[in-house]
Amino acid sequence: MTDPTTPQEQLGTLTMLVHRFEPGTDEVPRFVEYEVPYGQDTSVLDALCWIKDTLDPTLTFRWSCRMGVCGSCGFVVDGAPRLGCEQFVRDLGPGPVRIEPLANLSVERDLVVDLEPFMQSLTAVRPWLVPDPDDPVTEGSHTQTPEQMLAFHDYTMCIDCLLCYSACPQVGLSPDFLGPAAITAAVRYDRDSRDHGQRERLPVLDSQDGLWDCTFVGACSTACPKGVDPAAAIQQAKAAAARSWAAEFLLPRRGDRP
Amino acid sequence: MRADEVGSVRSDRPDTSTTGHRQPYRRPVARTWFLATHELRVYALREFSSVVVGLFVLNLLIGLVSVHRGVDAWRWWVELQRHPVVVVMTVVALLMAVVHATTWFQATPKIIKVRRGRRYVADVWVVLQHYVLLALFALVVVLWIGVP
Repeated sequence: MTDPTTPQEQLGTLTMLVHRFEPGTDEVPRFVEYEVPYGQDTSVLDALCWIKDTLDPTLTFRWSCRMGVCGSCGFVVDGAPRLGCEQFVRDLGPGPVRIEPLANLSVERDLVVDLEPFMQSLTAVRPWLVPDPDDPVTEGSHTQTPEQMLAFHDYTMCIDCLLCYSACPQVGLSPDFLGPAAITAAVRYDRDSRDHGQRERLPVLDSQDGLWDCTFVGACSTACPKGVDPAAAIQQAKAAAARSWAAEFLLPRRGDRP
Repeated sequence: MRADEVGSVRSDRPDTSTTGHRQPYRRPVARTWFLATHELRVYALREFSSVVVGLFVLNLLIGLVSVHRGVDAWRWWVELQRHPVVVVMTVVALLMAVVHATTWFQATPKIIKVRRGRRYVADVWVVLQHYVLLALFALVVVLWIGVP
């Protein structure tokens, strides 16, 4: 990696107000100002790494791949949830630009948020292929047509970066809400022709903290860096849950064919 | 050093045997969260528009009750409709009904996905279909009630 701040490449400097919180020491978070040099290629993540390398090694944040794949470096940049690696510093400003941890999630330290509640939401919806006991894979592989794959393909692009949790006001208002990414993961598997787990996922989705906490703000889809459209997944899941309820209410055997 | 002595040395610290030293800080949600971004303001307007439309429907309900109660009550309600406050409210209700309908029509492609072969029908056709259905519905209502 070339140093993005070598003198010949430098475009200028930007003042960044970075959210700092040291548990046990700080009662409430504080903002610390850093003057960061940037070039054509400097991302917010590069800038944070530069601060950590040259100004303050105690600055804590998550990152890994630097190219929008791992989903680790989500921050709130000037009020908008962004992947640090995908936000160029040259497109920001004029400063000072506020760098905050993802909203609606508890802060562990500085820019690191507590992922535990999300991990619990994600596992609650069983985000894996539940096999059909009557059609085990030992009796031959399950083929899938491109048309069948279309039903869920876009939802597989989720990288669990939690930008949608930061964008969603309902996550902040009702902390037990499953949230956009977890519900989208449920829909992704529900729609998969090889999956047989809809009956197990429905009670989790069709519950107090499931689908119905969503009020269709749509901010999750705007924030998504992967074009997943969680808002669409949730509204379609609401329609499916309502149909299932109606079928259970009106028809014997929940409308299943005998 | 025995195990209970280790415990006594650390007795002045909180028990972190299961939680570690983590003390996650939960940031409060501002009361005015719905004003924070343009997107949230548009959302808040869409939600608020239904309240105004609801008030208009309440006015209509009062009108229905007045019809039931007789001629005097009906005349009172018709006179009430000429009150400046009610006129302003009705105009605002019309505006808000337009806001509510158009924003919902705009949102429908997220819910209605029509597959044609290996791709979905473009959003614009789903939105357009709602305007066509609304126009048809309005036409039927006008023909049914009759043009004055």
